[in-house]
Order: sequence, then structure tokens, then C-alpha cells
Amino acid sequence: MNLTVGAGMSEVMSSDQTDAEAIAGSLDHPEAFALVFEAHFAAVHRYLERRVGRESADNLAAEVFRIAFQRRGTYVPDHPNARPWLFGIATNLVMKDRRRERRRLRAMARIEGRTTETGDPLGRIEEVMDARGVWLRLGPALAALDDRDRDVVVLVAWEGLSYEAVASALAIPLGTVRSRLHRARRQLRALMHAEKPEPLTLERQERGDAS
Amino acid sequence: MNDPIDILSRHRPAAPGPDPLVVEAARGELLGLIEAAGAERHAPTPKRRTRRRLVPVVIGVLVATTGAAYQVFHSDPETSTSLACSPTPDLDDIAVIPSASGDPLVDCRAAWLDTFGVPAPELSAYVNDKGGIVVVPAGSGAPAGATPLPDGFRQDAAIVQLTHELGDMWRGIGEAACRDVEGSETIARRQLARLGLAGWEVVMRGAKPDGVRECALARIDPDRRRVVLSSMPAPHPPPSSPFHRFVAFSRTLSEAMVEGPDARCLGDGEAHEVIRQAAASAQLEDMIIVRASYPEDRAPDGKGTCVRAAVNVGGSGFVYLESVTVEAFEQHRLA
Repeated sequence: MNLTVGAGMSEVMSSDQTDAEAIAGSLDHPEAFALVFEAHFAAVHRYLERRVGRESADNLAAEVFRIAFQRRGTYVPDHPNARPWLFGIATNLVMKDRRRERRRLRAMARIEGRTTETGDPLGRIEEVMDARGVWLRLGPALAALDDRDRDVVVLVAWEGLSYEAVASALAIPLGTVRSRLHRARRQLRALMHAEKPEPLTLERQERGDAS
Repeated sequence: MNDPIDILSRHRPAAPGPDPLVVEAARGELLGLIEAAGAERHAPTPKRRTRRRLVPVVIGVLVATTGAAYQVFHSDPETSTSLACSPTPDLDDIAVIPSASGDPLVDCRAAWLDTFGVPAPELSAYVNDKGGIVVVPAGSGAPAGATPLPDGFRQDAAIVQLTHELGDMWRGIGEAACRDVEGSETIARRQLARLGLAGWEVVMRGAKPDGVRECALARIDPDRRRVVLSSMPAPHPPPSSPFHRFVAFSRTLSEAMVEGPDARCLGDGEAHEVIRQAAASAQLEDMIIVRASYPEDRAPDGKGTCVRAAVNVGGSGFVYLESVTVEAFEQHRLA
């Protein structure tokens, strides 16, 4: 493939670069933005997949990078890691399809956790059984949260972002992140304990964690 | 331990990550943008923001920049094919949208509710110091460095329509998947003739190595009055990808109302019904956005004209409707 995109790439693309440097370099050498794509596409896709499902993620992940590339001139250069910024763009895209996300969360409850990850291979059967019980409550509870509170919750709980990174991703003050998490925690507790779904209990999961 | 956040973190939904073919398709799309941007390096570059603005950002509004100043560049607003809409003249929140009608006020008004979540107020259009069009609420003041556009200002409708027709040629309407650069040249020349863009040229870039399937990516360069066709890797999305449904949707619309022996001259209502049915059939009801760009002197019911559609896909599927005479429709349908 003989494309002009390759011209000058070697001089501006270096694995030692931070995302901020690559993005800054891409203003004069657009091809430098490819580094950001290679570093974060899979993570952005997984984030979207958790929220809106694989099929939508296939489409939206590319959209995130299209938007990011077009808006690279607005990137705040004192954030070396671009992942929160990209997650923020992805969250805005999820915002356009809240109904799909809520349907997906409720559906996940119906299939009783079979699609959740279990971190520890030991005691796997028990973990899966626990996950089934947890998701019977988690799915509807998460779906019932205020959309903006849910954004904060999943970025912290599923993607492991720090509070500061969430604030950066969503362009909200740190205090707002804390207050949304606090509210979400309170509501999740209430919602998860509101009904007793049949087969397994949350307490069983909690006992397993404590042991 | 009964912290629901902790419980959630230990039970996050599985996400195996993208299929390599999805990565390849996304990479190809990004490379297209990079290539186009590289060709425009002579243009002014966006101003870098060195400090995060402290102005609170309205959350939950739009897919837009987060509290950032944004520059919309274009050397000549009349030949631009996009514009920026913003609820505030300081452009803290902004949406850059493709032009549809050529009237910036009409286009922003049509996109306002979807984008900002509230009905559009009365709007005013400005041109910034880089030639980009910016629309903000009337009476809110001009964006920095911008001057009002004259009453009755219109973007060049032919160039806007050319962008709709060729912008997604590699996966757009009538193209079941993609077309190579040489094949695309024919289409580009046909569209230039149809839209009366005399004096424009078609420039081809990139070469196809043996055995590599390629698609053409079209870029409209109104300043130099040319269409640049670049060779890009063909996308290979997995069977579950929405890509295939968009292709099916585009093909249905093309065969029903654009070209070929079965295409019919449709009025407004019939066209919308065809689009609705095609979207339902492709399970894309929630992902299709329709924008009309009819001439101002068109009869209210479109009498004596046919509705023509172009499809662009970018997250959602945008269907741009154009009104053409019956003669022009027949001529193109059988070309």
C-alpha cells in the first residue's frame, strides 16, 4: 500500500512517547496519532463492550478514535495518559444509547452472571455460582442508577480509573466524582437488598470474599 | 465486605476485546483521516489548550468537546461542508455537524435537540477567523474573532451534496462493500457532472499491490476544486458487525430510490417509508438519522421532483435526502 500516510512517520512515532506527546506531535504530523490508537483501541473496545455489548462496541470504538483524532487539538497536554480522555469520549457515545445499556444490564441479570469475569481460577465453580446470585441483583440495580452516577461507577469499578482520572474523563470536578459515587453506593446497597432473588444470596458472595 | 463498588469490580462483565478484523477496519478508517489531514498540513493547525478551563461543563448533553475551546477551520465558508453549533459563544460545548441544507441556521436547528437535549433557540451564524462557520444562540454575542454571516448566506449546495455522495463511497449507498480507486473515478466524475461542478478534477493516490483488496476513500478539496481518491485497506468486519447491516440498508435504499432498473421516483412520504422499512429490515431503527437538503423554491409537497438519498455511516447512519427533477432522476437512474 503506497500511501502518503507513511511519510515522516518514523521521525514522529516513538514507543517512548507519552500519549500527550504523541497527540501534540500529531498536530503537525497526524500519523503520530496512530500510536494512541494502537495503545488504547482494545481497552476502549472492552469498555464499550461491557456497557453496550460487543456488536455496538465494534462500531462505537472506531467512532471514539475518529472523534478523538478530530479533537486532538483540544487535548490537555498535562495528562500524559490519554485513556481517561478516550473513555470520556466513549462515555459520551454511550450517552446516546442509554436504553440499550439498561436493556443489556437487565439481560445480564437474566442470564445470571454467565458473562462476568472471575478473577481467581481456584474455587471457580463457587465463584460462578456466586456471580449468578450477585448479578441477579447487580444488573437491575445498576440499570436503575442515574445515568451520570452509573458512568462514574463503571469507570471506577470496571475500568479501574482513579477518581482523578474519572474527573478528567467526564470533565467534572473531583468532588462531583466523590458525591456521585457516594450516592450510587447508597442506592446500590438499597437496590441490591430490596428483593431476595431466588437461588443465591449476596451474603454468600460476601462470606466467600472474607475467607 | 459489602461495598457494592467492590462487588462490581469483582464481577465486571466479560469483554474479550475486539476481533482483529474489527481492529483492522477501525485502523483503516483512522488512517483515512490521517491521510486526509496530512494532505491538509498547509492549513492552520488547531490551537493547543494548555490549561483546563475552570468553567463548569454541562454534563449529559452531547458528544462534544469537554470544556474546550474549539476551532473550526475552513478557508472559505461558502465551500465548507460542515459547521459548528454551540449553546454558548465561548464554545465550551460544541458539536461539529455535517452540512445538509446549506443553510447553517436550518442545519443547526435540525440537530439541536438531539445534540444538546433542548429545543433550539433563535440562532445566529458567524464565520470565525479561519473561515469556519459557527452557530450560537441569537443575542448571546459573537464567538471570539468571529463576524456575522450575511443574511441569506448559503453554503454551496452542490459541494455539500458531493460530500454526501462521495464521503462514504467505500461503504456507501450502492456500494455493497467498496470499490477500488479506478472504479471510484467513474463514480466521482459522474457525480461531478450531475451536480454541475465543471472544472473540477479527480486525482488518484495510492497503488494497489498485487493481491491486496483495496477501497477508495474520497476527500473533497473545494479550494483546489478536486476530488482526491486514496487507496485504503478494505474493511473486514466480522459477521456480527453492524457494518453488514448498514451495507444491506444502503443497498436497499439504492435499489429502491436511487439507481438501477427498480429505482422509482418517490415523493416525500414514500421516501420516508422506504427508509423506515429498510432500517427496520436491517434492525437499524435506532441508528438512522435523516437530514433533508431540499432547495428553497421546491414545492411544499415536492411535486414534480424525486427524493434522492445518500448514506454516510459514522456511528449512526446518516441519510441525506436531496430533491431532483424527474428528468435528472431518470438520467442518473439509468446511467
